[in-house]
Amino acid sequence: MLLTSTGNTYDAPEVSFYPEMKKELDRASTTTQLFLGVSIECARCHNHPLEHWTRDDFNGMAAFFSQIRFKEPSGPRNNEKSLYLDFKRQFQHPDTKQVYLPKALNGPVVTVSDDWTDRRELLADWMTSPKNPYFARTLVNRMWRNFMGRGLVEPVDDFRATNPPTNAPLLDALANDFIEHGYDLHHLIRRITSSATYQLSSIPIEGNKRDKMAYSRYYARRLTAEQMLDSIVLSTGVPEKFRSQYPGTRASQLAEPEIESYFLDVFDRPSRQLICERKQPPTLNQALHLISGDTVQKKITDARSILAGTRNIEEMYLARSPGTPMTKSGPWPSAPSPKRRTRGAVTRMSSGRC
Amino acid sequence: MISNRTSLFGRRDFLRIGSLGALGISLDGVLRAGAKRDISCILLWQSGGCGHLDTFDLKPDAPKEIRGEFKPIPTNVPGIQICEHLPFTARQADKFTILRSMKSRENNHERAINYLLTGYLPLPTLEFPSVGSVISKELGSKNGLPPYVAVPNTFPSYGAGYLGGSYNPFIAGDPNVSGYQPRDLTLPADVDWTRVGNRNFLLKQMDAKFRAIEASTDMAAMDSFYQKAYDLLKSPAARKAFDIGAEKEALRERYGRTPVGQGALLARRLVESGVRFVTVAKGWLNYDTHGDNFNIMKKALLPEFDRAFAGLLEDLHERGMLDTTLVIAMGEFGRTPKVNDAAGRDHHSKAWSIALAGAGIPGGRVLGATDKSGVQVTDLPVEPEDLLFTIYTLFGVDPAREYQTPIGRPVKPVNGGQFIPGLLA
Repeated sequence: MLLTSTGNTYDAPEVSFYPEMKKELDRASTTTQLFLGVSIECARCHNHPLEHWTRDDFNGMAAFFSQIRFKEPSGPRNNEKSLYLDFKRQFQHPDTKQVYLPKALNGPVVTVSDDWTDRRELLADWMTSPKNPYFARTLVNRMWRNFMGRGLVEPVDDFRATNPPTNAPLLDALANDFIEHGYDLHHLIRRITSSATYQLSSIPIEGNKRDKMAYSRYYARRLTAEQMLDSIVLSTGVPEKFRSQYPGTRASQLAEPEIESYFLDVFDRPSRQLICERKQPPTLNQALHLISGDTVQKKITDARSILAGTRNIEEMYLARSPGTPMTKSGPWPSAPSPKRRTRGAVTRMSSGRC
Repeated sequence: MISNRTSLFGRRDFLRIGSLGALGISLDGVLRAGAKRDISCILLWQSGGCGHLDTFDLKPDAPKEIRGEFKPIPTNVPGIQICEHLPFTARQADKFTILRSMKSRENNHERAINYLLTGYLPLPTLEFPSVGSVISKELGSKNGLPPYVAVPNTFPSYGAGYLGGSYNPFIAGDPNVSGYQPRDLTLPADVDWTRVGNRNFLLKQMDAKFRAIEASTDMAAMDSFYQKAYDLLKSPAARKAFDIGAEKEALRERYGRTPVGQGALLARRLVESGVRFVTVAKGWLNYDTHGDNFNIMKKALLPEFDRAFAGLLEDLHERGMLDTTLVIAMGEFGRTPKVNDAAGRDHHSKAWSIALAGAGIPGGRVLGATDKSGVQVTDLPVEPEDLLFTIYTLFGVDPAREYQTPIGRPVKPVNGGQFIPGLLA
């Protein structure tokens, strides 16, 4: 698991979780937000004003991460980071210099029995214990959001008494089911996607047009940056080339966000520094890139493009979208001069709509 | 002074007090104008938090572990001293006001940035708009140019929050690269406007089908961006504004050939052409010098800031634009007076310095003060709410007006605040 990873980032890629977080307190804050759906950031400096988190909770969580040390890269792989454990290292608060022992949120202080315990394993055990109230609920909520467009708790990393789920019995049932099936993500995905709710039509009927949180219909949502780019590739038949990746690698297969792509960045591919969900706001730069940028233009003018040569635009249009293409003066002519007309239609398809 | 945020002056009270002279005649003048003033703002953003003891609030008499390595130098205003690594800025001191009494309640970067740019302590349930987005909404676009531009890039908290995506900044890229041009500002060679028109016609047709099913503010925003993109592509003013290569070599050197220097120069060009709000940053959290503070500051951060800031002030002044351009240099907080074991300074939000110029703000002054170690503000505390209240007032935007959030909650552009006393006096 991510949390208990050790070794170097080449042999154990999951170690990459850690280097972005320089201090124990950062690790505590991020881990809690990601896996427990709880934001304890306020408690970094003071007891949380509205919730029951205290600075002791925060410092206790931080103490689980005190053993983490990094070796500087050596040799040719200069971006390599190696994580090892300094078992004896305690967490000392940077300001007060007070030493804190590991303590899970709302849990007891953990007594570390010997000097050779990876404290992160204790944390992982606590997190994935069937009695843990946070982990399963956070995971099913994230998965639910992934498929339904909106979490039962929204934002997904802000579980708290003053931000209740829109459907608490459903969240509990999903979480219990997930625990009973041994935290099996595939099972969870099947559960969600085989539900009647997931399969509802996205076309609203009288009475549920304004619904945005009761799942009375499927909510249309924007494609992610990766989906959008892959869709353009699929519609044109011209693969995207990413630096030092195998030819034909899809955007959704990229292992890390550092791989350069203006298209993905402008459509809000999140960086590794951010732990919040992507928001994908529309921007002027996106519109410009679709109108005059090189991504679409290169694909439709490429010799490999399925639009190249004499193939019929109408066929292609029909294959990708319902309805007949129209021009200002009536239906699109069935045999347009391809080089001139074809480029238009693909731009529509990649216009950033779902 | 500004602690009681529950009993705020309304705008009318404020006018009355102003005219009574409590806050000076020129402030009254600003407010009496009532209508939106035609000013612009350039914000030089010191991301990560810039040490006040190493820039505008040196403490030469404090012990070594507090005063640090830098010495003060005189400026062109008698009695005002700033850091020795800001020599160009020292020669422009008659053009800006140093405010040594900023204070905030946030010590975490993201939250502090959010607080300072939105005028609200961050709330998980509502995302507030940044000042640039509010100005965008209020003043709109001119000459087909986007009203709000981020150079080189946008960062968390620069956005439009509940106002909706259409007020997000335009991202200009790094003007320090050779042959700079913002991406996608020119149509591809074999695409003409007829073709763009045809494409747009088809796009609308497809969208109409979709719109019948679903409507959202994001979709509306994307539509508005398509229109703005066409305007921008067609605008000769825009092309000219972004053409930083048209500047004389000597002037480009004066600003410094750095992303910040050229960013400031681009900002001046943009403002000249009608952009309302430009943010210029080196990058994300560069000023976060927890270790090796003095070397990083004197070798990298200060020299490039110095040329950029001084170059901008001098240039705006020479062009007669300083009166209509508000220039602010600041980061999200200061840095601890006490130097840490790694020769660094840590986050310090209880007191720090910012610099303000233009838009009627007289130069050559120091406002506010900190104690002998630079730990606490001792005079004229100014909090993020006050700063934003001041910016909105200078723009002629009523800080007490209300916007509706998507769920119909009325929210003001800033959570209270008051005009910084004496800023225009």
